[in-house]
Amino acid sequence: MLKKIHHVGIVVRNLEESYVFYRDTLGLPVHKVQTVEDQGVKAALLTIGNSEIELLEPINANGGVAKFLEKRGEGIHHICFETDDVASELQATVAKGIPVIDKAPRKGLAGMICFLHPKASHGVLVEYAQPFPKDHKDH
Amino acid sequence: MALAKKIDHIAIAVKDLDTAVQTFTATFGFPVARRGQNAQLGLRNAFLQVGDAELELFTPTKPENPATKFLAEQGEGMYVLSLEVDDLDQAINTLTARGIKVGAIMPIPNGRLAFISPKATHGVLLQFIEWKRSHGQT
Repeated sequence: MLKKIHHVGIVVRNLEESYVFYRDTLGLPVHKVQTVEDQGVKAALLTIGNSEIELLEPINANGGVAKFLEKRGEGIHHICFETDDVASELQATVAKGIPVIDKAPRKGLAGMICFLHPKASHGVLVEYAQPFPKDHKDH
Repeated sequence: MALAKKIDHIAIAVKDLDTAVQTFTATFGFPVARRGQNAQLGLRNAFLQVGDAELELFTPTKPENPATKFLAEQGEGMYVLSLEVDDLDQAINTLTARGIKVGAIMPIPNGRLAFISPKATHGVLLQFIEWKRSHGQT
């Protein structure tokens, strides 16, 4: 079951510059910053309510995020839904014949994650995430 | 204290509303909370419940709606990120004091909203929404 919006991913040119609006103006606290080499990004998670805004700065010109930035410019990139069991959620999705990018869950910033193909959902790039136990927050 | 307290909804522009509702409910299992239309803005929409937030699927019904151009140029996809604020006037004042442009306040049933210039938000069409106190209190 997909429980809630875990985060919305926004591609930016420069993380520090984007903090001026998202952290300093909106007042959203940055609770995690990490470089995710295999996705070619430096990412920051900012808390908003019981969800997050994920700011993504490309660090590798050949990565998907860099290509998105080049083609579309800065903006909303993906939406991530939280689940307690990403493996079975992905399996159920594949069983329905829905196109996916990741055939198996992998480690991401938000936990164990996988991406569906945007053609599965009217152009929306969807991610599922099962947060790491230590990242779980009580709400 | 954060200016924006939660994600209220994310609006997704689609070509055919009924097809999109069917796809999203079947793929993700999100229930349809309500359907509607806004003749002034020129759109038909449906809201799907996702935890304490919503996904809005909408299709423009007149060419003047900016999403008509968006659909023609970029295709279907996420269009608006809507964040809930407690006090819209105060939130707008905070932004304008920092030199950020905010559009006119628009009344909606049970609330008010305003759009923020995407120049300030790094390309995101961001909306502040304020609900009347009776709405969604838990």
